[in-house]
Amino acid sequence: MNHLRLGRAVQELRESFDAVFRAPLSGELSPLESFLAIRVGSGRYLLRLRELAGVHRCPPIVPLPGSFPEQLGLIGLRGSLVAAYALAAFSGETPGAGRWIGLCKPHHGVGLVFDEVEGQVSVRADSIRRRGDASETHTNELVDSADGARAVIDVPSILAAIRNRLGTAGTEK
Amino acid sequence: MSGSWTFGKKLAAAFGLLLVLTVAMAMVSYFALKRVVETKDQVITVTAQNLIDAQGMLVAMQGIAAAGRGFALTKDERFARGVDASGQSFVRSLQAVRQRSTSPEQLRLLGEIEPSELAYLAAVTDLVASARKGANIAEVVASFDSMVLPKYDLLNQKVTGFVSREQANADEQRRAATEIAASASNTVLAISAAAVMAALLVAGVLIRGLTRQIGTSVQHVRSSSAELQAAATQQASGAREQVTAMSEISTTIGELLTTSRQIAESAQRVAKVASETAEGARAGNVVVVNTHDSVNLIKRQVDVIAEHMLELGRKSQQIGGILELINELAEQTNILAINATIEASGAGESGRRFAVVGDEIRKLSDRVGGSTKEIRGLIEEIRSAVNSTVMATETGTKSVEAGAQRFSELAASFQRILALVETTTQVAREIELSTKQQTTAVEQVNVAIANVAQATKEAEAGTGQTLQTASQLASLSDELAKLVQSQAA
Repeated sequence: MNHLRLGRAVQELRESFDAVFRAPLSGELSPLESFLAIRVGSGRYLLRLRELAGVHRCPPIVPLPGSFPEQLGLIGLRGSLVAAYALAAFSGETPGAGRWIGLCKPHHGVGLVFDEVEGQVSVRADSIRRRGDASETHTNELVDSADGARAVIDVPSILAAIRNRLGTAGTEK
Repeated sequence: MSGSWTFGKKLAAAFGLLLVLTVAMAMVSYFALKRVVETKDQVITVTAQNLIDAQGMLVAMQGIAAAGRGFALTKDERFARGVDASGQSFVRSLQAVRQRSTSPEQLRLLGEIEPSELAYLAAVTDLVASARKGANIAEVVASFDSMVLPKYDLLNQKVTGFVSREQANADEQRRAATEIAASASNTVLAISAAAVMAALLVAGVLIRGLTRQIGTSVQHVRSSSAELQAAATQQASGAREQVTAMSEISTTIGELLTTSRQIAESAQRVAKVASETAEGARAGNVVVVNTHDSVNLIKRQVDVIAEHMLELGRKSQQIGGILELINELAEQTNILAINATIEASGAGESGRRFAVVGDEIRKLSDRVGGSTKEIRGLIEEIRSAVNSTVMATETGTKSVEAGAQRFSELAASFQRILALVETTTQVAREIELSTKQQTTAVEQVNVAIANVAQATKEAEAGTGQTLQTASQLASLSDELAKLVQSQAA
């Protein structure tokens, strides 16, 4: 029974793989949009891949003196310094292990630290809904998926908030 | 102490006391009579003889004087010899009196008589000689008056004085004898009176003591006879109950005899069954030994299975480790694919192609991740199954060990059962033999019980006789008590 099921799965995988490379490359952009499914604390969120410059395991963070609470410190990644910020602090979740960091686009020097990478999902653009009452959590959109609705984290909003905090701190100084 | 004396002792004491008094009275009478007789004999044999001899001396004195005067008158020689003869008679009488006299007064008086007699006899002899020479009468009479008569008077005075002394002595001794006799009579009278009083006292004491003692004894006899009567009544009742009990015992013994025979037959059957059981136990012991070997073989096989299961568990752990590596590779591949997709999104047309490849790589890595999850689940199931199997085999091993141990115990138990069954067989045979002996003994007991029952019936009859005798004894004691109490009253 299991042997038959596995044989079929292997066959479907092979056919799907071959079909992708047999099909001609489409000239238009795909109507699907790709997201990175993550977990922050006990919350499940989505990050737009086009708003990220990369996803990496989070190396050891060096804390900075006098930084504000959302800023965890600095990390060294591929020879560059990256300022690590706690995504949980912006999304209103309880901070967790912080194993992963997503580099923001276009500012590669800013990274958002979250707990788990749950995979990549692609959804149609018309399945993305707006939500109007979550400006403080930087999640203005919702995506319905098979395992329930996930909030889409607004990375530019977080970057604006960081700039705002940095600007405020510089003015204070 | 006299209260505990027997009748014989008391009577012997009373008669002894009376005998002592009688003997005392007889002794006093004897010695008093003896004293009186001695006194009288003294008076009669000594004093009277002395008086007689004194009178003989007076007669001899007168004979001497008469013979002297006769020779002076007649010159006849016969008178002269008469003088000598009278003189010798005087001397014999004097010597006889001297021999019986013991008192100094008597000896003094007799000592005074002897020279007077010699002087008197010499005067008479001179008178005879003078007459023989031829003197005349006048001279003879004158010589007699002057020479002989004074000496005669003196001698007569001495002899008369001695006679008076003896006469007074005789009177004194007679009075003494009379006084002794009177004293003895008084003593005898006193002792007789004392004996009478003692006899009366002893009789009174004896009568009183014996009456009281006999009365007490009669009361005791009456009480004892009453108790004996009650005991005989109770014994008669007990004898009747004993007869009934003996009858029941005889019946029970009969039942016991029947039961003993049944027990003997049962013991015989038990011995037979025990022998068959011993055969069965031996066969069972062989089966148990064979089964024990099989169980040991199973135990070794289970140990091998457990070892293989443990090895399988270790292999599955190694697979789990490798799977972790694969999962890590898939995760890193997935991240690489995601990053490739991100990079490709900014690389134009070639980036789109690259994005397709990266997406497929991500899908593959997702599939690998899903497969590793499935494999991890399968490995967990395998590990769980292995653990369950190991635990089951451990439990089985323990069960097999416990079974083996129990089989060992079972084998030992079979050995003990075999030994016990053999012992049971032996004991059953002994029981059979003992029961047969017991049956014989019960038969003997049955005969003995019959004899005892007969003896009990006879004892019941004897008890009735005893009861009757006790009643008679009670009536006799009542009559004796009445007699004693009437005498005492």
